[in-house]
Amino acid sequence: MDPLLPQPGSTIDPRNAVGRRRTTERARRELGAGNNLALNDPRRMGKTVWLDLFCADPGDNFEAIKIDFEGVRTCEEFLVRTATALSKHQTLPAQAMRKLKAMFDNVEISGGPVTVKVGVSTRASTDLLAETVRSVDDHLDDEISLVIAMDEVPIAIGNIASNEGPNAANQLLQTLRGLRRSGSKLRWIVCGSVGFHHILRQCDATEGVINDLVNLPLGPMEHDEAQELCERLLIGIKREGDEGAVEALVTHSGSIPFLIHALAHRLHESGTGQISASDVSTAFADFMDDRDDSRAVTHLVTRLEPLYGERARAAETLLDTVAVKDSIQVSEAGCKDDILTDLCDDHYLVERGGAVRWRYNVLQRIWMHRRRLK
Amino acid sequence: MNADGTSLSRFTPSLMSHELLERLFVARRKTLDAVIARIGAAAKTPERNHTLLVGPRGAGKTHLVSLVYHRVKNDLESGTALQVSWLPEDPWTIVSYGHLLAAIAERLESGDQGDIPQSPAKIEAYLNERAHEGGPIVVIVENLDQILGSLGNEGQQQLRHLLQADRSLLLIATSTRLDRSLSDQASPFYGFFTTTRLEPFSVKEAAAMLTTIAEERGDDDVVAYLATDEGRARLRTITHLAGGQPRIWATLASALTVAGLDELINLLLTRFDDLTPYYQEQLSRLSGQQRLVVAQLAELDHPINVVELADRLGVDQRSLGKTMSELVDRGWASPTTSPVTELLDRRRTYYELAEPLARLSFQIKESRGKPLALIVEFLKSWFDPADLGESEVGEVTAEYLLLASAGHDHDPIIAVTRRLHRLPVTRAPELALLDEIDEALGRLREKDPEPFLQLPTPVRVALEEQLETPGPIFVRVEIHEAALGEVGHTRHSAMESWITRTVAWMEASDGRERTTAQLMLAEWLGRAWRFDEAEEVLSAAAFSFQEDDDAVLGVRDSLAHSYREAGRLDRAIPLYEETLAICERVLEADDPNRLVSRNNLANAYREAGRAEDAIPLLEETLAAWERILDADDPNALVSRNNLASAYQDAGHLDQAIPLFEIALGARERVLGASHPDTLVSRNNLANAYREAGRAEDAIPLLEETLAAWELLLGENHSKTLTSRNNLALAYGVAGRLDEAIPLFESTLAVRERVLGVDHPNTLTSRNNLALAYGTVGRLDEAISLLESALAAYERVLGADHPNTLVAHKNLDAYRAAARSDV
Repeated sequence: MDPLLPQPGSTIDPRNAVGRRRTTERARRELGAGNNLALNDPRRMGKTVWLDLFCADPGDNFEAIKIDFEGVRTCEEFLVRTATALSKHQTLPAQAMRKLKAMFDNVEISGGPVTVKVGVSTRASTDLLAETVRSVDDHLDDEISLVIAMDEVPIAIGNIASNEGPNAANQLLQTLRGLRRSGSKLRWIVCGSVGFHHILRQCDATEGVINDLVNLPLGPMEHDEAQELCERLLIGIKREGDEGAVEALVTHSGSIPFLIHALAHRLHESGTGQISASDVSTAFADFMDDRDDSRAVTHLVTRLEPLYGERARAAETLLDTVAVKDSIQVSEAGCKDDILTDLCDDHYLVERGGAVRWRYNVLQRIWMHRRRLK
Repeated sequence: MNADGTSLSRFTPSLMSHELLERLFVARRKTLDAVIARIGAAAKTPERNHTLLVGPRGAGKTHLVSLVYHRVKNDLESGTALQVSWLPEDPWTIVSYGHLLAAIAERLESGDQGDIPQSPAKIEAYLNERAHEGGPIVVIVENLDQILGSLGNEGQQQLRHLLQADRSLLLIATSTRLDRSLSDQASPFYGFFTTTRLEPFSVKEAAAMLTTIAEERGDDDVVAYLATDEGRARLRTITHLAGGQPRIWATLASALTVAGLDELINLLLTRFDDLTPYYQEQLSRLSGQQRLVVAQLAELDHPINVVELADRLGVDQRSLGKTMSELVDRGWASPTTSPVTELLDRRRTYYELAEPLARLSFQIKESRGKPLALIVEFLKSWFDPADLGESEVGEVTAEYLLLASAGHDHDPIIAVTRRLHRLPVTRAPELALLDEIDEALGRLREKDPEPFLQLPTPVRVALEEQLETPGPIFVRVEIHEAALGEVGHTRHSAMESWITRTVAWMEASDGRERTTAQLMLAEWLGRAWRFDEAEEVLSAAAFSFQEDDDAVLGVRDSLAHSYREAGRLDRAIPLYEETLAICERVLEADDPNRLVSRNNLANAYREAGRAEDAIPLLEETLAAWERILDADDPNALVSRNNLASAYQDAGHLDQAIPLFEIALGARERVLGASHPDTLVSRNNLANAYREAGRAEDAIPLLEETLAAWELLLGENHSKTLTSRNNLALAYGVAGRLDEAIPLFESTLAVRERVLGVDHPNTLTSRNNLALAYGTVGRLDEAISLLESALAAYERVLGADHPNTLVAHKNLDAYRAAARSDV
């Protein structure tokens, strides 16, 4: 088993990504069946890592390109970001490349940056985007499907809504929807940690612009994969775990990879020698007691205000109630339906059989600790 | 100055050589190794594990990244595919994403840079191109929080995209705090970095650093001293001042001996001058209420909760709760970390200033050219009283030393802190603070940590250490013993609260703790002269112990001492005799406890006028001490002094005076001229001179002694009063009654007030004043005083006590003289 060093954030080497085999298999199946996917787990659940992992090995008859849209502020930047990524794809058909060169400067040189040619710059960015993507689709080998994995799309759409107005953002969403509907050899994975429902509200769009996407839930890791990650990290930090240590690490972290890495990082920094289950429990308790660190894992607490605005207090109260009681009936929720719906869409809660509970136990525990609930 | 020309104490890593930085680097090697491993991985794989080092100013961030820089440079020379760009420490000119990219490009240290383009998109492409050619660029960026703040949300998104998508850069960043831009879930850099907080240096780590610096300076004495328990204890006393910051520790390293004081003060003032604008600039960014809170935290010497703080500031608790939360986020305040906080109601948090040095921004503003309190605190904590008085220093330093020395005389916090750290005690009265501590320890025992958290921080921290090892019972006993040492064996109003608390302690505990509390209660009751109760409690406690248990023997001895002080020699002597009998039965002939016991009995004999019984005991004791100890050992010196006193009592001044002279000479040599034991010796020799008719030899010694006691203990302390009485006696013998009488009068007045009218010492005073009045012909006043003294002597000491007999004789003589005058 190869050692791994803790890396709670940052950009990992896909060769070091552990697990998510079932997610990958399911993604291949869905994409093979012609579906496009939405990946909208909360931040730090491992979406980007999985995208990197998938794009490095998309499976037979698939090629994949990942495009990160973070920092995109306008439709034109969205277009340029897309064109830049496509132009760097090594097996891009020559005809598609010629088309790109006709529309953009610097697509062939590594010195960049890619810019829209003056000759076409008067055309709407969304039209150019559609034309760019279709030119690729039109020239792909018949045997091959190209997966375009778009990361941080909601952030980009939100920025565009702020900078160019809701209509521009809506138009872009419509264009993307159109491309997904028409592309025969293209497949799409749309990924983002800010819930689409918040962004759609911001740009006056309806669910219709994304309802073609099949949800691909990531969630915590499978138990055996979480174990593997824990074991490799303990080897990496040169702290052998006793029989219970790995299991404790899996349990305390709720099999969430970010938490596993964060705990391993803490264990790495806090001592040497063999680790027991009790060491892991202490590390986790210290982690939650540490205001800085706990803020890093209790992101759900800080997320409410910007996204829920005036509804934040009612949402917090509902989360408190469900956390303390463990589960309540929907009828007991005592707040507007839209709050409950948003809390479910944002992955705080899950509704099953008329009852509501926290989606992830570990986050429930952290929430309770942070809110000092008993 | 170091061999390579760099001042170590200024500790500016960017000016220091790689080799020196490596040699001085302690405690954080694991962190450095981890960062270097991440850089190594970036050189060989697509992995980009970006690092964020978080710590306040002076936490050692620049030292660490300087080493990263040097090591990367070394790697480059050996052909590793890396590049490095180290951005300026104060990033005032980086106000946008474009500026940041330009700064990275401009500081890229590899080959010909060519023309750096202007637009952000072009610089991105330029950097990618460079990385493509020469390997990833390691960007060392300090104060990242400030840069991200300047970039704004969109700039941060662009940066994150650049880092994620192109993998051209690897950030090794530092920040003074994890502010919103690094920790809010909605922020682009939320959870992005592998973050390491540079924790404050522990005492052990600080010692390692100071030792390394001392080695570098070739100061072997300091190296050796830092390895001692006392050296570590001394470091603990200043930990709260340094805030665990390596840079401040490094500065302090310049003055671990008195010889370096001038340099230290100069350096600290310079360092504080450097830091103050930073803190003041940070302060100016706060709201009015936030500034008020910070000012309050800076003023307090202990943590505080929101309720108390709201009360002090007269503001609403709810809004203050929010303010505190904001100040924690901004790095101004931090929840107190103490092992006892786990006992707190979870909604109750105690806060303190996150960086102790931030106090400077207030102190400097308020000092108006006067010495800075923080430096005075350091001097009081680090140096012993004896160190501060005997150094030759510049004018500014002298002013600081004067204040520190005054602190040793008056500051109970420093006195108790030093006591708890087992450092030489200072002269400041501690009783009120000890009372507060005992109350806090009692409440802590009942699971209420709040009074404990409200103790002055250095005292609390010292106590926490003791609570860990050797444990709570030991700590409580130690505090009680310190208080007992303060109050002595004379009834004192403060004793009642101690007795009440000790009863509560005893009732709430069981087993060994209960019997310990019981013994302590017996001790307190004895000190308060509640003898019957003391005997009863002692008897009850003694059931649980062996007859010869040290603790029980100690309390019996103390009780006998209290009897002596109360003039109850009839009960003191049997108790001493009984104790000595036990010691002789169970202890070896030269066992120190046995010798002490014999000494105590002999002193009681002396007081009872039985000097001839005392002398053989004391001769035997002195011989034993001299056999088992060095002649200058304090125990031997006490013994010699006691034997001399017994000779004096028995009228053998020819034997007493040489012994007193030897004892004084030894104490001056061993303890110093101002030590309390030296003062006692000087006083005794002077009294012997007086009795031998050598008043003119006695007077200068007694004047010197009285001045020293007044300085050490104040004008009303029992030792000062005894000294004043003795000087008055010497004046009387020398015929200087106009000087003697006012001294006798003031002594009597104070003793009546403090000790009570029937106390043996008060009676002695009354007797002495009467004699002085009689000598100058004020017979009516003399007779009146002697009558009241005699009545009290008979009541308290009995009709046959030597003092009673002397008073009787004096009264008869004056009455006769008065009759003959008529």
